[in-house]
Amino acid sequence: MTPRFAVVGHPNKGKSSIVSTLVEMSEIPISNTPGSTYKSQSYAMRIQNQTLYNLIDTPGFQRPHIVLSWLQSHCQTADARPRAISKFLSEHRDHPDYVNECELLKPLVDGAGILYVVDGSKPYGSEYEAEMEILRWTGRPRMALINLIGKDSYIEEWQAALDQYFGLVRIFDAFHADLNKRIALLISFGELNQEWQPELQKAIQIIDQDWSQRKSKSAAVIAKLLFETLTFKLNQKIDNDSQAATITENLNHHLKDRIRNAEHQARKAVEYIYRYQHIDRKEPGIDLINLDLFSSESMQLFGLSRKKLIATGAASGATAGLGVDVLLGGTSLLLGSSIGAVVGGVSAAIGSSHIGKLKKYGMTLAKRSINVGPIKDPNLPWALLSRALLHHKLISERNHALRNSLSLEAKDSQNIADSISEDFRSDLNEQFNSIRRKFNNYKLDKLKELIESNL
Amino acid sequence: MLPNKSLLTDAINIITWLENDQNTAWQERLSRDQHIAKNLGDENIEPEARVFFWWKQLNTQKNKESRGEKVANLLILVSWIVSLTGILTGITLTITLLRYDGTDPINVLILLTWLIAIPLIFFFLTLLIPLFNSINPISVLNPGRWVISYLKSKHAYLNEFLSLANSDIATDRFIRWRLILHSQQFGIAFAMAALLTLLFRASVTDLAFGWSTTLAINPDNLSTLLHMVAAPWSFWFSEAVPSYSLIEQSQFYRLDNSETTMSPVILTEWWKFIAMCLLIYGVAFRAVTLFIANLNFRRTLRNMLLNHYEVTALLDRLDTAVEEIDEFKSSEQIEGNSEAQYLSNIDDYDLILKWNDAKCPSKQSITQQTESINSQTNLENLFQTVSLSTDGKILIIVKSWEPPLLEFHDTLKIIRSLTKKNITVAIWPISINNDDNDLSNKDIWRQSIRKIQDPGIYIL
Repeated sequence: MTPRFAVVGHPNKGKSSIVSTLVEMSEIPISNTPGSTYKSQSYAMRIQNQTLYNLIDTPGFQRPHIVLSWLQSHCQTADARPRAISKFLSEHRDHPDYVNECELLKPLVDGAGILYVVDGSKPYGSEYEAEMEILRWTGRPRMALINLIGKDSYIEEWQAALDQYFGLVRIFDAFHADLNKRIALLISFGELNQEWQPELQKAIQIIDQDWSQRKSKSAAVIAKLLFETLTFKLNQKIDNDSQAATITENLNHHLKDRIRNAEHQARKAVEYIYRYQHIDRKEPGIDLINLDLFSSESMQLFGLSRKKLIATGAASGATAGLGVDVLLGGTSLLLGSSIGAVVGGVSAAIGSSHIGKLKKYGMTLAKRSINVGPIKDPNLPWALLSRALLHHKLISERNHALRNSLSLEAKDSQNIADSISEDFRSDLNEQFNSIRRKFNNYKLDKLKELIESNL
Repeated sequence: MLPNKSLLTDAINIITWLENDQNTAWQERLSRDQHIAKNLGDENIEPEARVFFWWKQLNTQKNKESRGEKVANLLILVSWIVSLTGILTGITLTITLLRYDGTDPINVLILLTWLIAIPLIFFFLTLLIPLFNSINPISVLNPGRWVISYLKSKHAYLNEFLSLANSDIATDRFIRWRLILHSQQFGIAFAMAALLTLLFRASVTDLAFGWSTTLAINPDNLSTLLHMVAAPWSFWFSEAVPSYSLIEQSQFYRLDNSETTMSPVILTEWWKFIAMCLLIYGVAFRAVTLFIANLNFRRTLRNMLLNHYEVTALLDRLDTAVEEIDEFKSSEQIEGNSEAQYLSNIDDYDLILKWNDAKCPSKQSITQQTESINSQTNLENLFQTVSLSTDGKILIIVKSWEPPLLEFHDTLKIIRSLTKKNITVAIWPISINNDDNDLSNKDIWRQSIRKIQDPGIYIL
């Protein structure tokens, strides 16, 4: 049987955020206005067409003291307490004053486990005791989650109080919990009830597998983006040379737009892989992730530094020259490597950003065409890769409870390309050059493997 | 047409201004309003006058772009559109009904049905508007409603204004009286246009009136009915009351080919009666209703203003008896925004209640009766031991970070039922760090308390 957990608590303490993070659904409404959840709503964590567990988002308690008084007046012994809860539900189902309490107690009576959420950044108060007592009366397996919505911490006092009412107490930041913390929480769910353990262990396995697949799929998307960028070209026939300049300029624009669009599509694809249907990108101020790919700032921030670019080019050239040295059985005294390094380094240093070139053919027919692309700027694939890696990092570390736009500070983003290890950079550069020369699927797979190993 | 433009403009602007003023530090608001209150003089001055005096001190210049001006201008525009529609309908219909080619006379019964009876039915339906709980069923046909609906969809600030009113009842009343006003504007314009068209046509051409019906109505019956209709003016303008001989002689049948015995001169006599019908039933009745509706609309506006919780809070600030008032200080002059500054006027409260162990940040001693309460407290017993003056003030200290549950609403309702209407309840959400920057939590409290729709309960 699929484990079910009702997420309950005071209004505005982050219940919907926790549900959102744990079932990876950014569509769950989260509001700063208390009492915005009126009805219990069940959300399934589904991966690979399997429901791993269900979380029920419930409205907050509104009249816990009155409900507790009613329960106390209708029950004498501890064994009758769960029945008293059921009785309360059946007698108050249509009562307008207890809509919230009925909505949140119903799933518990139906067998759901309890995840009680409090905000550990706010002080503990005795007003919580009535609702904790009601939850104790249900007799259901229950765990308290100390969510940290604000900056302050009152965890100790909360822990001391919650320990008295709940078998397990965990600290869980719905907005910043990474995969490991989420999995640790699932393991704790299993501790609540032995019956749920096999299902939850299976769920953890599936989540792990799915996470690996997400990385692999994302790497494939990024590799395809890089390949397309390295091989994109456009062609247009012209009648006379006077049109050449204008058409070249137009084609340059088109080419850049296509690459921008490809990058946009790749980002969307990565977001879908991580189950984000919509992320707002409009944010005032500096927003580096949304910098235009071809802007000088973007190249400066995301591309390799000039020094690293030359070093990478030289290393790549040296590797090619080394092949010549080997063929000559070392009689060249590593001259091939040396010349290759110099040529590679100088090429990278003076790498042209000219992307359009006039190609004439069929002179007898007086027909000409303009071929534009692929873009030869050696830093472009590095800039694209850095941006893609950064975007992937932001998305994979993001939680579905977060509703803010995707942006980052300048200090977080600089030198991403430079921070790539030398070996990886060298391998990548080789792949870039290889794809530029001639493309085949094997090269794309190789590129994907390289990227995946670095995600 | 709209003599209350100034009141309307000021009411809207005051409420809007006070809503925006919520973000001003409390101490600054208090100090500013007490400073203005110093110049009020007479303590017995009416609340409305006090509010307008305060407003006059703060707003010396008229802002044509203010929300109040916009809404008032919009409603004036609605009045003009409704009146113009009434005039055009009146002229068109009267010209159509008075078409006379010298053969059959104009049937007075048709004329009275269209110009008097049908508008009267609408008039009585309009008078029913205040009696119904919901204004929707009977106001569907109201032209003013159509225009307001259209303008509401085009101008967001009209909706914004209606949402400013603190209670649904007040908003409902505002719309009701507006609809009645617009109905009367339409009706008067229609009747005046019909009357003037009749007078013009009667002056420049000969109009012969008669009456004709398939029903078994004899001149006796009709005479009785028309004398009843003409009763309001029969004592002072008997010439406009159709005589029995006129009624008898002006009956006609269209298939009757025998030579008519009707005198053309006699047949023209009817116009005075029709004109008086239009004047009395079309104009006079509606003018009286317009006057009454206008008075009620003004009263509703006043209530909307004075029953707004921010205005209640303002009146409390203006009423605060302070021996020595500091000179008005701007927010820059006030050092920090510590909640401790609220305590400077804590002596004004007769009773201080601490909800769910909320702690007062003051280190100074509080002399008033202070009680800790929660949803289980027996308030009836508590209030039996408290002596509150008729216009006393209660302060409830709450934790700002804990959003108000319905349990708290229940407690407020009980307090209200145990206290007199004039007693105000101020709620003071105290933040964890005793600063005044906890605006989002305060806003949550404000929005929640607003749902209670009690103008005497407000957030500090």
